[in-house]
Amino acid sequence: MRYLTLFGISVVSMILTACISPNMPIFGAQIDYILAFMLAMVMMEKTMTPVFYCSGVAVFMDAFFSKAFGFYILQYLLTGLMIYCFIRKKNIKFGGIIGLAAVSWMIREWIGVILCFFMDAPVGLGLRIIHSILPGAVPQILVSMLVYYLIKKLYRHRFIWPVATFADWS
Amino acid sequence: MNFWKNRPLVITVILSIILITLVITTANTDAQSGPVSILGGILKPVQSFFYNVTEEIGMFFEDRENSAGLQEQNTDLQQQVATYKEQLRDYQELIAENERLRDLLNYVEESEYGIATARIIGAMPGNWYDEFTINAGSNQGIESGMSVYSADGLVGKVVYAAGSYARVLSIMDDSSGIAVLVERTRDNAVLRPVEGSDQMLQMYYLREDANIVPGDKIVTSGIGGIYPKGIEIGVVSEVSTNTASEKIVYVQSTVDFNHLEEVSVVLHVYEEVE
Repeated sequence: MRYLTLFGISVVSMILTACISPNMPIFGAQIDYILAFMLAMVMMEKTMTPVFYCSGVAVFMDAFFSKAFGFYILQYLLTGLMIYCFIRKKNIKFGGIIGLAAVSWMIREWIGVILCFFMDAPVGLGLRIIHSILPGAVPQILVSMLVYYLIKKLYRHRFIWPVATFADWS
Repeated sequence: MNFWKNRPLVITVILSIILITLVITTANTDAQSGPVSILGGILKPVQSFFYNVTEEIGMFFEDRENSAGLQEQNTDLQQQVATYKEQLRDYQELIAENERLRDLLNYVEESEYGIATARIIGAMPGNWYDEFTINAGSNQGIESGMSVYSADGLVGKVVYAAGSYARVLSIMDDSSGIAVLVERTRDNAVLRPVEGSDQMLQMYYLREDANIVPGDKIVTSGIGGIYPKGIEIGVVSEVSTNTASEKIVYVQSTVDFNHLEEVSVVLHVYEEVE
């Protein structure tokens, strides 16, 4: 049940990010729902499992949109890894989501910029910062807070926890 | 922490190395075909459904915002329709005459290459490149390099074609550069998008003495291959001169890229000339 739920959340977040967000930006910014869900789940359970699920569904985004296979998967995998390494031993409260959402958004964007360079199709960095990274951070934080609230409610149920972690947590 | 004992970390690092290699080796190639194309095909109906639904929702709100000016716009449009009807009659006569003359000269028209019409079903998430996805691919004869246009003008070129879908790079992408012609004066130039703009382009390599004025129509010149000659791109919106007495010319694209729904693909790859 836990893995089915994680898969379901990942697929829904992928549909929101790939199919809906480009057409319905919030305050002009394309929200990354995969990143928001991944951050919230890693914060809750402090394992890499949500990172693998969220990176896994990005395979479809790579197949459908990307100039090179791995462009989207790597963004989520590496960002998730950094989030995990940072918070695995820390007890972060609700307020911490603000900083973490902003930092993870910027890390993911920077990884994307670097990958574009490797793909021999560089994007204008200055323009990217002005038009995407900075204006996108605020709506991304707001959505991440909402998602964290929802995920926290979900993690009140026993079925979603990894067995060992639930024993520690309860 | 002993790195090698943390299995998820080891898996992530190995996966990252494999993926970085894949990104570098598959970038801008057709190596994504096969299994990747099948994966994309799975997402296509989902993508198409949600794209259409969200577009309808977006347009509903936009229509409500614009309803105040609709009455006035309607009157203007009716007047325009009357004018266009009159012009259409003249054009039909001209077309008939043109066809007769072409037959006479055994003229081979470039549009003898087939046209595939497709619907836009997705835009690249994350605003990385000005690319969008259409619901027709190699099964419909579409190949990488084919030019794409809409009823309003030039849209871009196909950069990747899978079986049932294809990706199109818009002319508004930063990497874009199009050889163009000022229709009235026949001056050649290169058109590139203005960074960060949705519909504005700038002209480069224009002759200093070019007699260009706002309202001049800009079309593709066909020089350099890629795009066929004569497709409308936009209209000159601003002409000024900088300190080095160079002309700075801005062109407003005739295509509204934010509300693009259907496009046509010329089923022929025009050879790119270096």
